[in-house]
Amino acid sequence: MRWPYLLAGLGVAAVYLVLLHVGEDRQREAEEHARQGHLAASYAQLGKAYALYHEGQWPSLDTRGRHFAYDSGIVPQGYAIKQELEKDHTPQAVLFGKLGRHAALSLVPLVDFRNYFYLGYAVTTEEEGLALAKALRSGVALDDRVEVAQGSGTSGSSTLYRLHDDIVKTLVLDGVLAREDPSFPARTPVLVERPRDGFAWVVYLDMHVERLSYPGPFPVTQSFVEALEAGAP
Amino acid sequence: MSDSQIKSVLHVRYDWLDQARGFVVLLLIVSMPTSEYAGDLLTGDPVLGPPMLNHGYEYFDGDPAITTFIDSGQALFLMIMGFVGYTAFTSRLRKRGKGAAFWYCARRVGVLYALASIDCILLELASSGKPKWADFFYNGTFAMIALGTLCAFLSIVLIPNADRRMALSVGLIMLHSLLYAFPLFDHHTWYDNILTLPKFPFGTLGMCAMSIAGSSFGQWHAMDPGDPRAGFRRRIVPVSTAAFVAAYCMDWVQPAQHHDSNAAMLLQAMYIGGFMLMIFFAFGEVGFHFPLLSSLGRNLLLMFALGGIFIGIYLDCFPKEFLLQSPYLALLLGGLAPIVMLSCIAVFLDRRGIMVRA
Repeated sequence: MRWPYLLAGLGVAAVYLVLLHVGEDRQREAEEHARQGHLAASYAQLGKAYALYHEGQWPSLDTRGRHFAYDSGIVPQGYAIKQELEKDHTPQAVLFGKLGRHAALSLVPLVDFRNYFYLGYAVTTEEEGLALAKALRSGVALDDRVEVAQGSGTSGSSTLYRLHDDIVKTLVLDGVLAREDPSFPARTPVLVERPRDGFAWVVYLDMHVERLSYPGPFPVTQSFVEALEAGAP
Repeated sequence: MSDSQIKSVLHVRYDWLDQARGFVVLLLIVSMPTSEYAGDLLTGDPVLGPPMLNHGYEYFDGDPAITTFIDSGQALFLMIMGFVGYTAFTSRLRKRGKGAAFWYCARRVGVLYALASIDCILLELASSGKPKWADFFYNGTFAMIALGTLCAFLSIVLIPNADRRMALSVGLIMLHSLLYAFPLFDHHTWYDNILTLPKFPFGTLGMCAMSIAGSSFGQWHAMDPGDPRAGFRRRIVPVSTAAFVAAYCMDWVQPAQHHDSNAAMLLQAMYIGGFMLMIFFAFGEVGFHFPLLSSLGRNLLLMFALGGIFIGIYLDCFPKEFLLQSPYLALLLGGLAPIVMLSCIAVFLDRRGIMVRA
């Protein structure tokens, strides 16, 4: 029997199995982070879907509750499949059809909206973000542009502009931007996750998603997040 | 290029092997209409055709996705290419020298890249206006076959021993599984690379491993010229059995995934390929022969190219709504007509002794 080869083979197999186990563990961890990011992106998609049917205009902020959330009732509710219908369980919504082994499944809201802050306006710096938070608390109308102090508005102007798919063209027409900046949507956050475990997912106007360390750069600076939370339900 | 007459016999051609190759072509042909008419179970879009003969992810692309043996088709194809490539390459090396073997390799890889250019550049320019360069160079079907073929030939030259080449293939599969396990690179996931991980050619790595394994199987088959069963008895069947056990175990840890050809998928292809070769060899031994399969198998590459390019165009002529009118209509036009059409071409070429080889 070639003992050295057998031992070497067993050694290689053992190292391989350990590495595989460690790798799969890390993968599961990464998938959990990805799931959170996907939830944030899905929630932002509700606003994007609204924009598709409103000539690119994103939803307004919650005007009644004055929260950093979608104005209630104007954005379709997102749901996730929860479980099979049960006798003692009152579902919020039900999905019927040939659903694999099921004929009906209960649905639950996609996200707890309290875990996310929808910004509603184009802000790309902390100063602009804090001006927005102040405007929200002050009770100004939130159905259109908001006038703020010079330099605290979108791109350093005196106006906070509502989120819009064609916002760059509008900013150029109004003279806020000298020329079209294709990177502007990628710098404009639309949705910020409430930070947890030192991280927060942020969805941007171009619908790309980033996981940022908290506290970190805008929009997850400590002061801005505190301002968002002050306006939370 | 085609040979209308084979001028000198390089190696024996085994009919049972052509039967096996023909079976692979048949699986490829049937998987195309089943994919075209896969429907959507969730939205109620009707499914036409047998789901077992389609990619499983077309019905449920979850984590893990459903897999069928059709999902192993490409890996199985590479394994068969490696199997026959061993004999074709080494016979040229022995009988005509290094130059002939080198040109055979270059021609084969060149033809495959030419097909890749048609698929990924010309057809893409015509349909979307934008060529798919990554698919052309390494990620597309024909590119993977080309690179897999190249790897097989290189490994035959660098590692003449079949057992050691098989060890290399196993090593590549293990490497693949480790790279796939860690969240280092993007792979086909439900969350669409939200973690913005860099790309890695997992599929290409897997196909290279399979073609190298195929070349080992090819060499094992020829291990005892006086006893064709020796290779099966001593290597092919035991290794395939081991691959079956390994695939089962791996599927629990890292479920099979078609798009990235992960370890479980590759091992599945290995045991399916090995057992399939054994079955067709046994058919040959007992004298069972299905003529159509031989015709399809003798022009494997041509059938693959024709099927890949033209069956899709044919199926576009019959929208699902038309076929739903009658299941017999679906069977005739969707299920049987593609097989009949390609079979007619295969039989026509075979009867005239035309084998289109790279």
